[in-house]
Amino acid sequence: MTRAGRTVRFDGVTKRYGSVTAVADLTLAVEDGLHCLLGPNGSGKSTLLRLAAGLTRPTAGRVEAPAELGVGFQRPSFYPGLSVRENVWTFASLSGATDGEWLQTVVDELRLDRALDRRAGGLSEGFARKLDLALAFLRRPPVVLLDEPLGALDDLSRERFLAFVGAYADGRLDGGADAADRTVLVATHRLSEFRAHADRVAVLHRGELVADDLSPDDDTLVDGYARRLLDRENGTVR
Amino acid sequence: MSLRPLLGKELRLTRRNLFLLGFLLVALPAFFVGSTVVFQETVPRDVPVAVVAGDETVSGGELAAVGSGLALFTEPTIVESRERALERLERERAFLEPSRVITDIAGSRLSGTPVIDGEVTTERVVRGEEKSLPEYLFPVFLVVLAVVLAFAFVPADLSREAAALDRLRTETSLGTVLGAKLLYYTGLLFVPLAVFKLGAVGLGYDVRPLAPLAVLGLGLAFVTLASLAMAVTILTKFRASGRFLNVVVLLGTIALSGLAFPVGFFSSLRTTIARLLPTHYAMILVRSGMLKGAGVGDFLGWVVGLAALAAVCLGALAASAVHYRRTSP
Repeated sequence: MTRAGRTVRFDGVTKRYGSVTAVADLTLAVEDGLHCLLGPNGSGKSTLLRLAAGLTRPTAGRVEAPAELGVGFQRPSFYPGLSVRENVWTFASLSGATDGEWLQTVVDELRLDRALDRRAGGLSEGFARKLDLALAFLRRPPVVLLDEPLGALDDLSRERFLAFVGAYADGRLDGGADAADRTVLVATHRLSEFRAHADRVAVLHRGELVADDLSPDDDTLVDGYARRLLDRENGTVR
Repeated sequence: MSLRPLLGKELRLTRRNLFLLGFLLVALPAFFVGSTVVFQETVPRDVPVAVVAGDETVSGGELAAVGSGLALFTEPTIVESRERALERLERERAFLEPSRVITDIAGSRLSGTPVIDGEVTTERVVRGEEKSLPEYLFPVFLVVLAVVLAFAFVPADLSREAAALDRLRTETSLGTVLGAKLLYYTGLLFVPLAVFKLGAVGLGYDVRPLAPLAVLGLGLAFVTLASLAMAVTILTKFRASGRFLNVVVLLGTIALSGLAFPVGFFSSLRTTIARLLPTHYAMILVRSGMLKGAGVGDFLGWVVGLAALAAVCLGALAASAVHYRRTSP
């Protein structure tokens, strides 16, 4: 797999919704490993992921991302009228995912085996989140976009999922010829949950990229990025 | 992505809606077919009925009682004699006056100038096969079913995909999803066609539900209407306003297309409206194919016109998908 097949690139991207600018002239490239897109509510994280997924078009600029990618949505996206198993089958066939062993691995890692025959529309928030995440990984894509993936997951599920996604990004989950790094881009407002697994961090605030290519252990982030951003808003820090 | 996995998806969703779909595609057509039997025994209200005393022993009260009974179905008139009753039941008369020919047809007088000295005979010629009322209703029910499917079921089925639409769009385009759904449900029209065919055979009706012109007319009408209905659903972003609009158009289409009665019965305004609707022409195609054995060549211009309209509506559907992508958050 080429690097281009694992790279998500934003070149001078702007996205406006009427008079609201969700993303302003943002340039960012993400490849290989687990990357966190950190920012408070309304900073443009979800918009960036939707642009990368091709679900919306930029007002200006250019977005490059591979056609084959997996997406975990902020609001879980699946067929509520189908069972969990049927949803997995449906999206596996739509995405051409034919590796039954891998599908079973995903179901096991996300602890969906207990809910396979339940109607998806009747799932708890936690299980709905797990199903949505599982559907993101079905075809073992080179790039995975995850929007606030840990919401509603219990602590045990969070730990398992973080270990899973970290191993996935490192290519440690399979030993095949294609076991190169993969790219996982996670939008989150809680760095602490991903610090142990993230490779790089970018910070967004009000649609602008305020920091890029930071280590998860960077002092700026260790101090608490929210406080820094608040100081920035108040004009006390440049 | 090829259509095959999308059609497989439609099949999987169908299994979850089997009861409803079975009702719409099998039970409802079967009900329609069965209900045509009722029309064999029905006396239309506008058939004139004269009540005449058979002999002098019949009293006025008895005549009135018979008339009251018939009043449930028609508007009977008590007439003094059999000869007068037959005279009043005549719909067409042609007779000579010394200097002109006057023709009286169903109460409308037409005057002409030629003078004919001699006997005048009239001959009533019925062109084509005669069909019973139940047979006539067959294509009407089929087109009504297609309109209901297009404007009520298909958009509702599309709305059920709203929750999964974001994920679907990461795997394929919205346009492809819509195209697969349209293809799937157009194909499913063969189910009610088969039910109608079986019903026709079982009831001994001389109708041909699978005649090429009928199938083509029905299919083109369905593609046109379902494309419009899905475009409305997409443009209104699956809101209730879209469903409401589709229901309004459904009812208007059935009421104004002249599906059951020849448009000549209507006012000029209603006739004009009917002739603007694709279902009006589709109904004629389906009826001509099913009842008269007309071929595609007999109505080629209309078939091409319907096909062109279907293409325009498909274009509108594609445009709605583009608009959705451009305006979705």
